[in-house]
Amino acid sequence: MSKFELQRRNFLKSCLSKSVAGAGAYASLSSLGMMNTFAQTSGDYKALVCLFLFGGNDSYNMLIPTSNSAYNQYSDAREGLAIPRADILRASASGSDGNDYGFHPSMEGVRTLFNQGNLSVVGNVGALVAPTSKADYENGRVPLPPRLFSHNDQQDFWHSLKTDVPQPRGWAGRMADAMVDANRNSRLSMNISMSGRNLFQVGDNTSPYAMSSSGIVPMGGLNRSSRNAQEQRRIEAFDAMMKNSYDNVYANEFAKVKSRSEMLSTFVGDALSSVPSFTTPLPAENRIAQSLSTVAKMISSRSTLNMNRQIFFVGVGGWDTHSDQLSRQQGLLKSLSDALKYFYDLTVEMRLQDQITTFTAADFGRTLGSNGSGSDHGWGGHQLVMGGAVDGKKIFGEMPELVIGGAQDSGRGRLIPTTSIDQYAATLASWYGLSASDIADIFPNLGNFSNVNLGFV
Amino acid sequence: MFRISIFSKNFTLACVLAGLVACGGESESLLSPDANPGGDSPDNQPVPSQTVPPLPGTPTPTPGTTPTATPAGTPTPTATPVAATPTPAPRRARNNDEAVRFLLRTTFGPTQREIDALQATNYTSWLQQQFDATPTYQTETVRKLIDENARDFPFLRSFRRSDAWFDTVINGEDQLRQRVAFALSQILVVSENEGVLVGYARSMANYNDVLIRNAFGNFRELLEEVTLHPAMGNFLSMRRNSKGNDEGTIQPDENYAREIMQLFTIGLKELNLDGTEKLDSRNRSIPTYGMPEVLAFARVFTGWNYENLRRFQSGFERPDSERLLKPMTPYEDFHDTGEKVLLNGTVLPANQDARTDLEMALDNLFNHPNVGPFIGKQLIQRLVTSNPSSAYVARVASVFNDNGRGVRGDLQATVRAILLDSEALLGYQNDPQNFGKLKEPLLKLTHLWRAFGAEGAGGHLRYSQSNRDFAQKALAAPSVFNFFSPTFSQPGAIENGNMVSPEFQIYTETTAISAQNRLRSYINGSRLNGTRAESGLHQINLNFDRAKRLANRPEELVKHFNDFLFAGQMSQQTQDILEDFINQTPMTDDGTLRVREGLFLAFASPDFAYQR
Repeated sequence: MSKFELQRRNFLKSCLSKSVAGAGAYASLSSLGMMNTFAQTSGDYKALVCLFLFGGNDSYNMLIPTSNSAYNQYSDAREGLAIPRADILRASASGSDGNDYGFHPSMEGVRTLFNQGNLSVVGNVGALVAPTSKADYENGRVPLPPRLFSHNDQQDFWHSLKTDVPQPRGWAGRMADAMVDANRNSRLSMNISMSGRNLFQVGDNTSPYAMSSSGIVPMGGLNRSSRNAQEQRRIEAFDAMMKNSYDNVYANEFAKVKSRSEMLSTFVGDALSSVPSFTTPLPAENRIAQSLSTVAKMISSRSTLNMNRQIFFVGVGGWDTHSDQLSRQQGLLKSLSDALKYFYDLTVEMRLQDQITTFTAADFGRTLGSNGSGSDHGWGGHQLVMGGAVDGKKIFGEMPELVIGGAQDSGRGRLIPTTSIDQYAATLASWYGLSASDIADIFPNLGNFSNVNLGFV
Repeated sequence: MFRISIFSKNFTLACVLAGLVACGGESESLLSPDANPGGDSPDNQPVPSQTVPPLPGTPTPTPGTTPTATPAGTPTPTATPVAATPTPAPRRARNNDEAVRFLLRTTFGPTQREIDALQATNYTSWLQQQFDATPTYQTETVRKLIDENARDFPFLRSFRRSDAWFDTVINGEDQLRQRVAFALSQILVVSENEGVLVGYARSMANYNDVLIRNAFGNFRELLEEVTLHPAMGNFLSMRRNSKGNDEGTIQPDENYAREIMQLFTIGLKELNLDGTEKLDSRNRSIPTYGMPEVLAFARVFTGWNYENLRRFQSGFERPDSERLLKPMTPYEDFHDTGEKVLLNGTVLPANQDARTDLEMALDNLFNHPNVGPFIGKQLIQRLVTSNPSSAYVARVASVFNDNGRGVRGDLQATVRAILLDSEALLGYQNDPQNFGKLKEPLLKLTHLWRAFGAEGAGGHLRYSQSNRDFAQKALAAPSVFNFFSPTFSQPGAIENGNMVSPEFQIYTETTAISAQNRLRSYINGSRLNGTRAESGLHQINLNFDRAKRLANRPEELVKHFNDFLFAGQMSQQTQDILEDFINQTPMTDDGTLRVREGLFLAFASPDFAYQR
C-alpha cells in the first residue's frame, strides 16, 4: 500500500471516529449561535464563586457563641480547642437560638463584612438526604449520604448531591447544562475552575475550564500570530496531530484536551490581556486571594468573552486539622478572611458587588470534641455567604447546641446538620436565575425538605 | 506544499463519506489497527480488530465547527476479561518494540543500554537482575547535601531531597525498585506539600528509603515500617496520639485509623478476589468498616512518639534530629489499654501493651481479603494499565495472597505477576483501543532525561517545581489522596466506556500547556536559572548526538524516535507529519534544530501520551 493510500485510510478512519463518538456530545461547544432571553438582557450578569475548603473546616471555631451559658457549653465541649472568650470578634447579630456570636480572632475582614451587611452565616449545613433527627440517625430510619466522614466521599457528595451513580455530575454542572443558552459564547464553558478538575462543575454537556490561578500561560512555540515560517510549519504539524484520530482511547482524549487548552489559552489570554489592573491591593502570600484575583480578571473581561453567567470554583487545601489545630487555624482562617475581604472590595471596584455571590463549602464540619490537639471528621458546619445581594448581617438556619451528647450529636460531637446542602445550594441557584422546575431537577434531595429557599440571597 | 493541508481542504467531504461508509458496515476494516512497521516476526501476527457498532443516534458529523480533536472511536464496554486460563505470554521481548514497552513499565524511561540488555535475555532473568540490584538509598545523600550547605534556608532542604530523588531515578541501576517505590509512594502517601513536613527533607527521604527497601519485600513489614515512620506519624498525626480522658471529652485522633483502612490496605468496600465489588442481596456494595472500627483503630494507634523523649507531649523536633529517622516507640501511659473490636469481630483483649495492639491490628488489616485486589490493582494501574480485566486482577491478587510457597504479601512475587501477566504483555495486540494508560506526567520528563543522558549543569538534576508544571512531584501530593484517584474517569469516551483514567485527573487545560512548555524548554536547551542553590530550576543538558547523525535523513530520524521512544506505537499519520515537518525544517547546522523541532512535536504528540 502506498503511503498516500495509507494516509487516506487513516484519515477516513479519523473522520469515522469523529462521527461515531459525536454521540457522546460531551463538549459544551455545540451551541454556537444559540441565544435566549438571558443573553439578550444586557447588563444581566451574575456569578457564583465557590470557595471549597478541602479537608473540612472546623467552623465551631469560626463562628463562636459569646453569650454566657452558650460560651461555657462551647468551652466545655472543646476542651483545649476553645478560643478564649475575650479574643472573639463580636458580631452584631444573634442566632436562631437567641445567643450572640462572634468570629475567630483572625477574621477581622469577615467581621467587618458581616457588620456592614455584606456577609451572612448559614449555620450547621451539611450532607443530608432527608431531615434527620438524632433518633432517626440512631435507628437508621432515614437514608443517609454514603460513607459519611470520609474525605473524598463527602467532597463528592457536596459537589454532586448524588453519588453512587455511574456517571456522577456536579450541581454546578447541572446548572450550566440547564442554562446552556445563557452565554453567547460557545467556546468557553460557563464553569471555570482555578483548582483543577472537580466534580462540582461537570455536567452532561458541561466541561469546566481549568485555569491556572495565576492566569493564562500560552503554549510555547505555537504562537498563531507569529510570522516566523518555522513556527507556522510547527503549528500546522501540531494541529494535524491533534485533529487526527488514534487507535487508543487515551490518545484521543489527550488530543481533545490539548486542542481545547491551546484554543482557550489564546482566546482567554487575549481577553485577559486587555483587563486594566485593579487598585485594591492583593494580600501577600494568600493563595485564595491570588485565585480570586484571577476570577475577578475573568469577570472583568466578561463582555469580551461574551459571558452573562459564570460559576467559579476555588479550592484550597490544608483544613484537615487533626493536630495543632489552634495554631494552624490561625493562618487558615486569616487567609480565608483576608481573601474574602479583598474579593468583596474587588467586586465593589468593578461595581459588580450585587451581581457576584461568594459562598464557602467544605468536605464536612469537624468534631466538636477534641483529640487532644485537633478535631476529627465531622458532619454539619457553618458556611459564609458574601455579596451585595446577600441578606447580610444575619445568621441563618438553626444553630446547634454545642454539647457533646446533645440533641444534634451523632457521636463525639459530629453534629447532625439542620440545613441540607441541597437547600443551601438551591437558594444560590434560585438567585442565579434558575427556574423552580430546573431547581427541582438539579437538587435531587430538595423535595425531602419543606423550605426550598432559605432566603439568604 | 505541506501534505497534510490537502486533507484539511477535503475535510468536510471526507467526513461525510466516512459517515456513509460507517453506515455501510465497513467500520471493521476502517478501524483495524495500524500495520506494525516492524511486523515481520511470526510472533507479530495482526490481531483481529474489535467490531465497533455505530451508536444509536449518531449525529451527522459537523467537522467545520469542531475545534477540538476527535474523541475516541467508540464507547466500548470495559475490556472484556481474558479467559481464566490466559494465552501463554511471551517469555522474552520478541523485538525492540516489546523491549521498549516493557521498560516503559519497569524503569523511569528506556535507555539504549537497557533495551539491549533486555533483548539479550528473557523477562524473568532481567527481572531477577533488577530484584538483586543493590538498592540506592537517599537518606545519607540528602544528609550530605544538607551538611555541605549548612546555610540553606529550610525550603532549600526540599530542593536537596528533590536533587537526590532525580539523581537516583535517572542514574540509579536499581530502576525497577525505584519505579515500584514511586508507585508505592502514591499509595502509602506522605507529602511535604501540606505544611507539617516542610523542611523535614531527611525524614522524607528516609521514608522513601522505607519504600525502596521494602519494594520487593513483604507488604506486612512495609505496612509496619510505614506506620511507625516519623514522617507518616507527623503527616497523619499518629505521633503523639493519646488515649482519651476519663470524662470522654477528649478521644483519640482518628486520622491514621481512617486512612490506613481507606487508602493503605482495604478500601471502603468489600471486594472479590478480582477487584470487583461484593454486593449484598439487594445489589448494594458492602462497607468494609463503620464508625465502631474507626474508633477502635484510633484507640489502637495511641501512645507512639519519637524515641526517648522526656515528655510524651513534646511537639517540635529540629529537622536534623536523628529521631526523625527512627521508628516511633511506645509510651505505655498514653496507650489506650481497653478492649478493642477490629475487623471481622477480631478482639484485642484489654491490658495489652501498645506494640502488641499495633502488631495485632496490622495483622488484622493485612489478612483482610481486600488487600490483595485493592493494592494489586493499584500497582497494575501505576505500572501497566488503567483498566486491568478482572481476571488479571484476580491472578495478581492470588499471588499476593500466596506466592506459591504459602507466603502472603510477597511484593516481589506480586510485581513479577503484574509484569509477566499475559494481559500485560499482549494487551497492546488484544485490545489496542482500551489497553494501557495515560503516562504519568513526571514519567514523561524522566523518560526524556534518561533517553538523552541528562546532566545537570549544577552537578544535580535540580528541578524542584514539577508540581507547578506537571501537577506531580515525588512525595509532594496535594493530600493523602495522592495526585489523582484510582477511580477517576474522564468524562467522554472513557467514562462512557465504563473505564477509569487516573492520570487524566491532573491533565487539565492548564497542565496540558505547562507540562508541554517545560518539556520543550529542556528539549530546546533553554537557558534556565543557571545553577544557583536557591533556584529550583537548573540548566539540564541533553545529549542528542545519536539523533543528530540522522538529521539529514528525516525518515530514519522519525524511525529512530519511533523505535527508541515510542515502542513502535507512533501512528503512520504521526510519522508522516513528523517526517514532512523535519524535511521542511532547515538543516542549518549539525542537525540540532531538526532534532529539537522533531522531538518537541514527538513529545507533544498523542501517540507519546500513553503507554500500552
